[in-house]
Amino acid sequence: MGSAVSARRVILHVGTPKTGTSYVQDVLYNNRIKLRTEGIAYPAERFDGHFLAALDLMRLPWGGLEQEAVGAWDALAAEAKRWPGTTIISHEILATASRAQVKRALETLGHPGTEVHVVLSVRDLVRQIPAEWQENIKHRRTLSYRAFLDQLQDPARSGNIATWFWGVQEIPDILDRWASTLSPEQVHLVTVPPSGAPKTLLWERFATAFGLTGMDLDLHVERVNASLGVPETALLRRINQAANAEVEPVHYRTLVRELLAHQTLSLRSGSPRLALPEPVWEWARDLSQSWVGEIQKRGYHVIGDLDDLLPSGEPPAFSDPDDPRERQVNRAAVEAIKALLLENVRMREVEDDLHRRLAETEQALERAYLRPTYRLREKTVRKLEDSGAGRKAMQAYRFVRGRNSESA
Amino acid sequence: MSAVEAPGLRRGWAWVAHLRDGGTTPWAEFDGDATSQGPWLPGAIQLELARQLNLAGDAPSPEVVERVLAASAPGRGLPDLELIGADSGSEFGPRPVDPAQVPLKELIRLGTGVLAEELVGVQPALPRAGRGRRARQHVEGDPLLVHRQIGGLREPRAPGGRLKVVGSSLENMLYDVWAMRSLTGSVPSWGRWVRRFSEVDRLPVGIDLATLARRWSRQHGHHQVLVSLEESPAAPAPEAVEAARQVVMALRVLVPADQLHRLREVVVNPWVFAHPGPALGVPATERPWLARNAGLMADRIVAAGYPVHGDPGMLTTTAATSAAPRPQRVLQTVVTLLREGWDQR
Repeated sequence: MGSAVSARRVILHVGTPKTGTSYVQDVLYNNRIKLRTEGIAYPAERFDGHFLAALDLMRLPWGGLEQEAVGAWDALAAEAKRWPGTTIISHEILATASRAQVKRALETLGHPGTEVHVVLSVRDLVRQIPAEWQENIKHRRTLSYRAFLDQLQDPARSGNIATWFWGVQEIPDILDRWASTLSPEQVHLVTVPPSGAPKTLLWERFATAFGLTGMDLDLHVERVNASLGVPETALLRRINQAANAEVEPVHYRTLVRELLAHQTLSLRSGSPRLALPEPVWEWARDLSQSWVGEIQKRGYHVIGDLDDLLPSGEPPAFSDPDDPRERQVNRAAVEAIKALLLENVRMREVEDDLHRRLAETEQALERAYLRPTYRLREKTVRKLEDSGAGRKAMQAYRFVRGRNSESA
Repeated sequence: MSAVEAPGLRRGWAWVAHLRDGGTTPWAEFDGDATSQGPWLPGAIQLELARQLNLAGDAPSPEVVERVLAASAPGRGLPDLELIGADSGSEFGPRPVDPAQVPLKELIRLGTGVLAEELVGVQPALPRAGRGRRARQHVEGDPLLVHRQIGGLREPRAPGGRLKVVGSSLENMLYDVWAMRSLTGSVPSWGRWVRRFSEVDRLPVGIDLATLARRWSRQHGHHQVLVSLEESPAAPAPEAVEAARQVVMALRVLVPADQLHRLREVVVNPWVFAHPGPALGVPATERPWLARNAGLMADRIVAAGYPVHGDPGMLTTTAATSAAPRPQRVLQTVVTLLREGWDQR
C-alpha cells in the first residue's frame, strides 16, 4: 500500500498477540492528531479504545471491562464510515473472531462499498508459544509450562488454553475467517523480524502496511510490555498459586501484573530466557513450515519475509521454568519484596495524608451540625415526612427548589 | 468440482434444510442432497442446538431457528466447529465434529447467548416504587428469608432498634446467596464460587449470622438481637439459576448498566423465581469446611446467649444431593425458553 490517501478505506489490524501490537497501538494513539491531518483516522479516546470495540464485537466478558464495551464496536464502525479517508483499527484479540462476527464487522464498516484491508502481524511459533505461556501466567493462571505445552500439542484442542491460543495464533485459520471475502491483495502479513534485527525494522513494516511510510511520527511510547525470564516467570506462577484466591482481579492488575511483572521483574536481565524443549521446538518448526507453504499458495501481500516464521539453526538451550534454579528465583523474589515494600511505604504516606484530611473534614462537619438552625431544619423535615400531607409539602418544596433530593 | 458442489457439502445443506423444516434426524443418520443456501454452512454447535429445539415439541418458530444458526456463542469456549463430512477439508483450524458429540455446555453457551441477544431491544420500565410501609425491625441474613420478611417494605426509620438475624442451614444459605448473586451475572459457577470461600476460609458477609449478630449487639446492645432459624423458602431451581447466570453474563456486554438492571428486575428474575427447585449441595471436597463453619456458627450463637427462635442445630443440616446444575436439565431449560420466548411484560 502506498502512502497516498484518496478514498474511504479501513485497515483492520486483527492480530496476532505478542507481535508488537501494544507498541503499534500506542504510536498510532499518540500520533492520532497528526495522522488526521494526513487523512488517516485512528479513532480512539484512550490507548485501548479498540480493545473495548473488540470485546463488544466478539461478545467477550473481560473481568468487568465488558460493561464499558457496550456498543463500542458499532460506534467505532460508524466513525470509520463517516471518515472520508483511511481509518485504522487495531486490536490483537480480533484474531479470534468467528465467521459470523467477521461478517458483522465488515458489514458495519460498509464492506464491500468501503475498501477494507486486513493486516495480520505474525511471529514464529517457537517464540510465540513461550510468550503466550508467560502471558497466561501474567493473567493469574497457575498451570505448569509442561501442562501448557501438552494442551497445545493435543489435536483435540478441547481446553480453554488451546482454544484461545490457536484462535489467536493459527495464521491460516485466522485468515480463513477474516479474509475469505477479500482479494489476496487486500490481505497484508507483517512478519516480525528475528531477534537481533534493527529495532526500527518492525515499525517500518507496520508503516508500510498502514500506508504511513515517510511520515514523521513520534515513535516513543511509555508502555512497554517487556518479557520475563525463566526464574521471574516461575516466581510469578508461585505467587499466583499462593495468592490468587485472596487477591481480587482489580488489585492483581495493579500490584502483580503492573508493579511486579512489568515494572520490576521484567527489568531484570541476565536470567535465562524462556524457550521450547527440543521435541516441541521441532514440532513447532514443522508446523510453521506447513503454515508458510499455505500462505505462499494463497498469494497474500507479505511485508517482511515468510522465512521470519521459521526458526533458524538449532534449538536454543532449554531452561525449565517448572524446575528453575532456586537461587535465581530467590534473587527475583527479593526484588519483588523490595518493590512491594516501597509501594507499601508510598501507600502508608497517602493513608496518613487522607487520615489528616478526613479529621479536618469531620471537625468542619461537626461545627456545621451544631448550628441551631441546622437542628431546627432537620427536626422540621422529620416531622413533615411522618404524614402524607407533610410529604406532599416537602415534594412541593423540593420541586420549587428544582431538585429531588432527600436531604432537606 | 468446486467446493460448493462437493457431495458432503450438499448433504450438509440438505440437513440444514431438514432442520429448518423442523426435522430431528441426527447428522450421522441423515441422507439428503441440496444446493448451497449461504456463504458458509452453519457450524455443528448451531446445527445441533437447532435439532434440540425441534426435538422439544412442535416445530419452533423459524425466526428462532435462524437466530441460532446465524449466532456465535458469547464468551470463552470452543470456537464455531465445522460439520464433519461436510467440512472444507482444511488441515487448519479446529477439527470438524459430529454434532452429537458437541459438549452440552457449548449448546448451553450458544443458547443463552441467543436468549441474551433477544433482550437487547427490550426496554422494560421498573414498577413505580410506592412509599409503602416501613419494616418494624432491621432484618439481615439469608437473602430469600430476608426478602420473605421485608420484601417491598422500606427500611425501619430508626438507625438503631432491633435486628432480626434470619437463617437456615448454612448449605442452603450459601446456595441462596449464590443464586441471588448469579442474577447479577458476575459470579462464577457454583463449585468454583464455593471453593473460593473455602480456600480463604470465609463466609459471604451477609450469611455470617454470628458476626452480624455480634456487630449489632456491640453497637446497640445484646437485647436488641434476635436470631431466627427456619426452613428456607423455595429457592429457584439450579438449572434456572445457571441459565439466567449465563444469560445475564452475556447481557453485560450487550446492554448498558441501567438497561441491564431493568431487564434483570422485570424479565429475568421473575422468570427465575417462577422455576423453583431443590437447592444445590456443597461439593464433596468442601464439605469439611462447610461442616466446621456451620458448627462454629451454631456454637458462637449459642455461646453469645441471644434469644433464638428455632434450633441452632439446623445450621449444620444438609439435605441437598446434587453438587452442580445438571447440564442436560440446563439445556432443556434453555431450549424451552428459546421456544417460548421471554415474558417481556
